[in-house]
Amino acid sequence: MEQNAIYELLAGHLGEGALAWHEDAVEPWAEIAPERIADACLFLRDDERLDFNQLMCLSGIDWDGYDENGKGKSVAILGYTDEGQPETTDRTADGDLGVAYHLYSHAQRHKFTLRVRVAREVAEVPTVSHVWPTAAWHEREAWDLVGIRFAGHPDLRRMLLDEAWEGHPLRKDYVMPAMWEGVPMEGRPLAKNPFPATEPATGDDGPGGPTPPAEA
Amino acid sequence: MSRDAKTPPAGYDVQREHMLDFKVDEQLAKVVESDAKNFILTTVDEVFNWAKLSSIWPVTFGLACCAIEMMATSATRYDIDRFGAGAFRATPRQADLMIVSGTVTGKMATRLKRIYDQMPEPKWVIAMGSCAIGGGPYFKYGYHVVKGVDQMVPVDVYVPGCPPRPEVLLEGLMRLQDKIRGRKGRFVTPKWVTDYAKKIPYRK
Repeated sequence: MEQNAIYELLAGHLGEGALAWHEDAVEPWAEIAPERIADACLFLRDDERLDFNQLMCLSGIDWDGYDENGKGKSVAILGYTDEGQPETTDRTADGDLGVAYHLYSHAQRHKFTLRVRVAREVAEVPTVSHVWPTAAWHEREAWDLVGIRFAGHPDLRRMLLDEAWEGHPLRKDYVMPAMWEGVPMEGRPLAKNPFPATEPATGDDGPGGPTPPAEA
Repeated sequence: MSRDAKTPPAGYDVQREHMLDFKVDEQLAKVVESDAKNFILTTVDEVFNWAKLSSIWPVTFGLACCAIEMMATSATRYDIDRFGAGAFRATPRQADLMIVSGTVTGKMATRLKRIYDQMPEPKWVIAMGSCAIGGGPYFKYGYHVVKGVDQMVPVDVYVPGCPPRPEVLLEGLMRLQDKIRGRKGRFVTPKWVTDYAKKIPYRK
């Protein structure tokens, strides 16, 4: 089924819960109201015409540094300096958080993409782990790295990082740790380049290389 | 071709003359003259060092893509067993060497420190690859990577590369053997190593 037709079916089911349809993208996507996402996923899975039996991927998104139209504003992601110390900034993060759902139907052989958008202060989305069990681990990973809580999740623990980790590292305002559990995470100063760029050659350097010095 | 020039004259005992040249005890020289002529002179240090460097057993400790090269080094083509280091032990209690082959994350660094502490003296560490040496490509944005394993344990030999080829790891192993060959009368890790280990800010 064409993606436009899928969205029409979905919008007919959700009513005002379907916020927008972004067709002019490589992977067209529908924006859904966060409180209706579980409803939308159940409809997409159980409707015989759609039959989305697989959740291919569930990803957390940080829209920090994007304006309302979705255009990026070049936010510098914080890392470590050349001296190995964590970088800091005075800028406060703005922009929403979000979740993207990529669905696939093995029977109908069509794909669909959903997105929800929540405010950075809220950062909570209903779970879809009861719709596709694989979402449980994906949601744990999104919670671990981006810091999106999934309401109703059966076991929302960290997936990759240690239980004692502070913060969510893939947020764009995350400040790198200098020390963690007694382990030094900061680096040592980078060595100076022993081969600095030489001065550009002046004079008539043809394809054969630099001009040999004139004989005295 | 004539080999006469290199052949000693009849009745000339090479081993005895050699010992007399180096003023070995006359009593000992008489023993050499007797029937028991097959023994070697050395020191206890040299024998112990020779035994140590000829059977460096590494602990099984593969972390990332460098471990693939380490496995290739232990396979038939490169055959790390030629140097006596092919017995990868499944427990640190039986190991002499830890080849830190790959990216050391903060979570793994706590385990790495524990495994190093469980290894009996004397023990050595090879930092294999850019990540283990200084963080490598994770230096700038690696929130989870220790920027150099020598911030956790004392490192004896650094093997650069990303990842290093098996020949380079063998070269590092041979340099470690040189290091062991030069040890004198030490049956424990040198003091500067234990001092260095105490300064490392690991608290647990």
